Amino acid sequence: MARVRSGLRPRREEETEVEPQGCEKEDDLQQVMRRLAAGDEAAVVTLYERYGSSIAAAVRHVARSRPGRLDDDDVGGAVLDVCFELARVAGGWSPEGGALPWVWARHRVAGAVDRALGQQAQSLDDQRSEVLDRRPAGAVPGPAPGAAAPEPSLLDTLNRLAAQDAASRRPTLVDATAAPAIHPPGSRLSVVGVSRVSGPGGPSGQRSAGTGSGGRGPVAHGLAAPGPARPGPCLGESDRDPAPGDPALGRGWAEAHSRGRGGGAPEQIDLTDSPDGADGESPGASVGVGLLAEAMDRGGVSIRDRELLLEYAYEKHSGNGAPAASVAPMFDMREVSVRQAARRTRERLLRLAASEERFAPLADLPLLA
Amino acid sequence: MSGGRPSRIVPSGRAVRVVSGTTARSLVRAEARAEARRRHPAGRGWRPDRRRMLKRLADRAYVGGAPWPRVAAAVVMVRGIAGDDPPTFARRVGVSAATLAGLEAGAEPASSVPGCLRALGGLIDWTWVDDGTRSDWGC
Repeated sequence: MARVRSGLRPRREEETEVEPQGCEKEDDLQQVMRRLAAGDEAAVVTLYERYGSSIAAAVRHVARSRPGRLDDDDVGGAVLDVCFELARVAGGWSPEGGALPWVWARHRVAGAVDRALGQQAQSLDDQRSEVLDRRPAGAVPGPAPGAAAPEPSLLDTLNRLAAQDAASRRPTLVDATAAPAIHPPGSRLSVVGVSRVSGPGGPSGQRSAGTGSGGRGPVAHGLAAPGPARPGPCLGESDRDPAPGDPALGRGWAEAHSRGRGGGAPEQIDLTDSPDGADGESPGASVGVGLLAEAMDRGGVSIRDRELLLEYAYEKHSGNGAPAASVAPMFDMREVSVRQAARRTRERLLRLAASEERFAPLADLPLLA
Repeated sequence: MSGGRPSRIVPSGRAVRVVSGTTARSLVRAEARAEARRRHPAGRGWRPDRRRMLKRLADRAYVGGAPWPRVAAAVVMVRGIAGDDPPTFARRVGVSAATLAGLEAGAEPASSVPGCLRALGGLIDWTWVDDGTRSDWGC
């Protein structure tokens, strides 16, 4: 293991086997990267063991520039991801470049951080934990029995709202009298700008504020149960009095529990089954969800691109700094392709809004901003 | 710097069970380095989560169709910690290169794992390795 070392003082023969720690480390790193490039999976472990702390520092450095926050567990997962990412690209790294592998592959580090930020779980708050504790033994936690199906996609929700819109229930996309940016980040439906319709008991937002659980859970999502006598779908109450046939409530459950991602402010959709709510609005004051669905039909937007646009906009609206990194795995696409597809769909809808007057209000949607 | 052969100071990390020969020595060095990094302020408390890495390796082996994914993960993990290439590691643990390749591919059951690897306490939870086959995967 005789290696040449630099230095002004003439080297003694017996010192040729000893070298500064830094040089040894560099050689060690080169060896690890060579093994990685050769496809040796054990080298991933070596990299993780010996350079994990440096990679963790790089991960934390990237995470500091992102809006979210990574805890130690997330950092650990991201470090693992980076190690396996480095194994994939190790053949392209050269020590002559002078950069450490995790600096050279900084975009992959950033991708791992963004994925970790986009997949954060939200712990149950105290109220939800109490509700789960009150459930009888053996009961399956989750939505009401009738709503135990997998969470519908954003596109399913959009289509359902469009159908309801067509049936004059009037959940609305854009309230012409409201500012478009009133929707809190993190609320899935606020991405498309769904606005609240006041029910007979007053604005549901006020009701939610009175019975809410700190802005998290179904109440925060503002999905009011049908009928004026039913209280707001506070988790505890819906637990005791589920509404199996109510898809809106099921959706609220699914959103609150499956996604666990929610804003801290009331969401602005109310599916109140009240004729007053529908009649109370002037017909021209808002734009229906159906208009967006119609515009997508008219624009020839494929089902995949619709889903992609909604998911992309949701991630972006939630504060995810790299929404494409989170959406790409859902569609088995590359990040750049996700960005292109989302932009293509957005531009197509904006062109439609510019060319046809009846689609013009769509240009105000946060979805297309 | 005068006289005498410079000696390397190996940080005295937590105790590593010395098993036999060179395998143990390399693991001692690796452990000592890892321990030194753990103590260093620059590490800021980060330490490798070997259980997580092991699970990830086992998942990859399972996806790759290995009949014994946990065995594959464990052997790859130990070799990775030792920092050896396959021929060197095979010599150290006293198995043929083909046997080692079979173990790392998950083609061999847990009973084929050399005893000197099983004696490496603390690195791998061998009961976890022994418990798992491809058929009962899914945890």
